[in-house]
Amino acid sequence: MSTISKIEAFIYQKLGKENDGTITLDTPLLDVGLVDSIIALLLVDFIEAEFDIEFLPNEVRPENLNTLRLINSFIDSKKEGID
Amino acid sequence: MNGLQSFLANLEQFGERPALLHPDGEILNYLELSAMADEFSQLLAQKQNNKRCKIGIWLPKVPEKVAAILGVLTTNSVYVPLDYTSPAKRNLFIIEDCKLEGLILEKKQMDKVKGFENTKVYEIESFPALVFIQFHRENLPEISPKLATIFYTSGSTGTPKGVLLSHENILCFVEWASSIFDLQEQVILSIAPFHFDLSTFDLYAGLMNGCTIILADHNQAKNPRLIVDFIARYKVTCIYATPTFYNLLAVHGRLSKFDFSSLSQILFAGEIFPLKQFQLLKSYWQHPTYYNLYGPTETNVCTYYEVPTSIDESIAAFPIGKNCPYAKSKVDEKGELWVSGKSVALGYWNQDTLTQQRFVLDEKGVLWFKTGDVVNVDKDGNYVFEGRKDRMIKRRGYRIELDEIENAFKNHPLLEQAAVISAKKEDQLSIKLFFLPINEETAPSEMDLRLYANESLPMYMMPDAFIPIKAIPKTSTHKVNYQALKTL
Repeated sequence: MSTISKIEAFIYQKLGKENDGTITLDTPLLDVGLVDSIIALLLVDFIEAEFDIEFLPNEVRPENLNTLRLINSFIDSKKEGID
Repeated sequence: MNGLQSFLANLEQFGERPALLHPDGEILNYLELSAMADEFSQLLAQKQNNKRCKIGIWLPKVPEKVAAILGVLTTNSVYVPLDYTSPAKRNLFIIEDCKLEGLILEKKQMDKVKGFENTKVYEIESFPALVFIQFHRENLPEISPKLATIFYTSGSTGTPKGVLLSHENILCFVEWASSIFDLQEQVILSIAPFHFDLSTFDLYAGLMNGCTIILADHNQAKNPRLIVDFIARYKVTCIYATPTFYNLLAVHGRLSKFDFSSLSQILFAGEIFPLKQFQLLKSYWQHPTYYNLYGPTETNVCTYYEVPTSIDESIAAFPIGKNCPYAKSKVDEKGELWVSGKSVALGYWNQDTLTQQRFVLDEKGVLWFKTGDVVNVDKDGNYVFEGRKDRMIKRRGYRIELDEIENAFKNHPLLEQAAVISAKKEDQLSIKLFFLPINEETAPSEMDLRLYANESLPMYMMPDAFIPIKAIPKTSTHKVNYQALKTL
C-alpha cells in the first residue's frame, strides 16, 4: 500500500466509515473538520509508528497535516533527512 | 475610576518582571506592557473623542491583544473580543449585532471588513501591522456604566448572543481567586482564548498579582507536545483549562519525558472531568492541587471544589462543589441551579426577552440567573452536575447550542429541512446532522455541507456525522422529534 492510501485508510477507520471517496489528495482535512484536533494527534502517532519518523513539537501543525498531499511530502522530506 | 481601571493603573509596580511571554520569543515586562496599553488608550481617546464606546478586538493571541484590551478598559470603554478562528461571517455578524464603534484588526485582514459603509481606517503608528477601524453609527443605545466587556457565546436562535460582563463581575471573581489560590508572581500558562470566561483568570488574576503569563495561541493550544515543552521550559506553576485540554496532554504529550515539579495549581472547568482521565493526568502530575471550578459565562465561576488527595473511586466525576463567597445559589423543583450575587452578568446584549427569561428578579428584588444546568447535592453538601434542561451541550469544553448549528443548515439553499442532535458514545459526545435535500439530484455531499458550515460556524460546532434522511420525524405538535432521531 502506498503512503497515501495507508493514511487515507487510517483516517476513514477513525471516522468509522467506508472509503466513500470523500477524501481526495487536496481535501483540507483540518479546515473542514474531517480530521479534528484529536484525530490529528492520533494521526501523528500513527505516522510516526508506521513510517518510523518523528515530528518535532513545532512540526505538528496544519502546514504538515492539512491534506494527504502535504502529509505525504512531509513524510518524504523527513525520510530524505534520515537518508 | 471603574473597577478594573484601578488595578490597571498599578501595573507598573511590578517593574521589569516579565508580564507576557509569547512562545515565539517575545517577552514583555510590566513596564513595557503598561506603556503599550497606554499607546492604545491614547489612540482610542483621540479617535473616539474620549467617548465611552464599544471596541472590537480581532487579533490572534499576541501581546498586542492584551495591551489593546487594557487600553480599551483604561479609556473607560468596553472591549468585545472576537474569536480569531471563527469564520469571518460570524465575526461580521457580531460587529453589526453589537454595533461596534471601533475595531482593532490586523492590516492583512482588512479585506474581511470592507463590506461596511461609513467607516474610517486609521494606521496605528506604534503598531504598523494593525489598523483601527472606526464605524460611524447613530442613535446608539446607551451602554451601562458598569459594563466592561461583551463575550459572545453560542445562541439558540441561530446566531451568537452577547453576555454583558461588568467590572464587578470580573473583579469579584479575580479577588476571590487571588485569595484562595497562591498567585503571587506565579507563572500562568494561558490556554483559553480571550473571548472565553476562563481567560479572565489568566488576564486579570494574573496581572493583578504580578504573574508571568505565557500566551498559547489557538494552534499551540492544540499541540500537546509543544505545550508540555512550554510548561517544563518556562516552569509554569498554574494552569486553568478544560478537562479536554488536560486529557490531550496526558494522552499525547509524552509527559513522562519532562520535569513538571514547578506545577502547583491545576484548575479545570467547562465540562465534566471523567475520573479515569483525571487519574491518568494525576499519575504524571502528582504534586499540584486540583480544583474543579464551575459557572456559565453568565455567572463566571460561582461554585468550586478542591479535589481531595485521596479520591472516592466510586464517583463518576467530581462534584462542582459549593458556592464561592460572592455567590448564592438555589435549586428549583425541577433540579435547575439558580445563581445570584456579584458575579451574575448584566444580561444579554440587545435581547430583552431572552434576558428576562434567564435573568429573573425574585420578590425581594434579587437577580437570579437560571443556569439551565440540572444538579444534585451529594452527602457532603456539594453540587453535582447531572445534565442540561435544554439543547445546549458542552463538547470538548466548548459551549454549543445545537439550534445554532441546525439553523445554519436550515439556511442552506439546497436543503429542505435539517435537524441536529448530540449522541454520546464512550465519553465522547458527537454531533449528528440529519438533512433532507430539496431534491435528490442536487443533494449536497458531506464535503459540500462541511465547506458550507465552514463559512458560518466555528470549527468546534462542525457535525461529526452527516446523515441524509427521507423525512424528519415530527411530534404530534409538529415539532422535530429529537428523541426519535436518537433512535435512528
